[in-house]
Amino acid sequence: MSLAAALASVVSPDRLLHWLCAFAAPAGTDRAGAQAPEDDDHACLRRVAAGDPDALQPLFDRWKLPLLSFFYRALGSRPDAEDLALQTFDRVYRAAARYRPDAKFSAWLFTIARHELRHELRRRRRKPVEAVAPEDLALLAVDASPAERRRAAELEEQLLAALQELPERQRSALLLTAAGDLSHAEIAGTLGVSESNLHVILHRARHALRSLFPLRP
Amino acid sequence: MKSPDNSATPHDPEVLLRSGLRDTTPEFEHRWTTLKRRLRTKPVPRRSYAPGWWWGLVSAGITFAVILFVLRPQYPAPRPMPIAELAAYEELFRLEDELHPALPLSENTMLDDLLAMPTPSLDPS
Repeated sequence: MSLAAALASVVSPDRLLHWLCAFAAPAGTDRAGAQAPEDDDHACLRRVAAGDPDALQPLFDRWKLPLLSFFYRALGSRPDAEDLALQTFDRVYRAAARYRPDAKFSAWLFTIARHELRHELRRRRRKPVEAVAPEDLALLAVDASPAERRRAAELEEQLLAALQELPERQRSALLLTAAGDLSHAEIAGTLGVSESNLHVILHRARHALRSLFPLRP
Repeated sequence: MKSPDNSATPHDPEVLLRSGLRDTTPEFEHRWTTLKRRLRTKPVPRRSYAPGWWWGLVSAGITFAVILFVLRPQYPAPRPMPIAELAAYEELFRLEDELHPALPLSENTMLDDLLAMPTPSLDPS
């Protein structure tokens, strides 16, 4: 066996690409691990596209809770939110090769998530909301009193019910804004509207939510 | 999405919206592990350099060409009518030739006759 054949049998093209991706840090970043999270996301997705499914794990760890929260508030059901979150990661894996890093990873991820959400909303009939236990919400302190837990559960149920009354676009606009990681331009791109149109949608959504959500001290 | 330090629950819906789920459930993590194991068995679909609709256009063109040039029904050319059957119409053709010039004459004659008719008197006596 020649040396070249022996090397080729040890170093597969996929593995070589994986090493190149791992070492080719984008300009302006430190290779010693001080990369921005966004660069980490891009690097992980490149590795996924190169055939390394394990690279999906850091993306899952970083984005599972924002995605779950988005779906949970959009659908009002935690089991449905978990289904859609897993479907979204499945789709991310299958679409990894088509990803172009000219956009933020989170914008791409939430575009896929909204696509899944709209598909689900078209498919299913309206269901009653099922709020999670207040302990599952990050809002409530761990050592909250029983009265505060009851109040938090009540508010969460009212919030979910109010959100269900909004049109899907307004609801998604609010939830994507609340996710906190996306700029208005990116949210507008995710929703497929212009930025000025997004401002109008957000204004109407906030107004509708406040009128639907009973503000009580 | 951090826990607030104070234990009071805010009532502003926008603040509530910013607060997401605290953690995932063990069932969800288990399902993720199962999904990841399944994904390991199937390779990532490679990037296609042609847009999705292009393949549809090409396959539609190929289908059209196959229907037009391969599967087109091969009808036989129309067979000319035998001479013996044509003879049966000969009498009709002859009658047509003889009667055709008479039609305009008949119509004109009728018209002249109608115009030359005396006006009927309305007087009953």
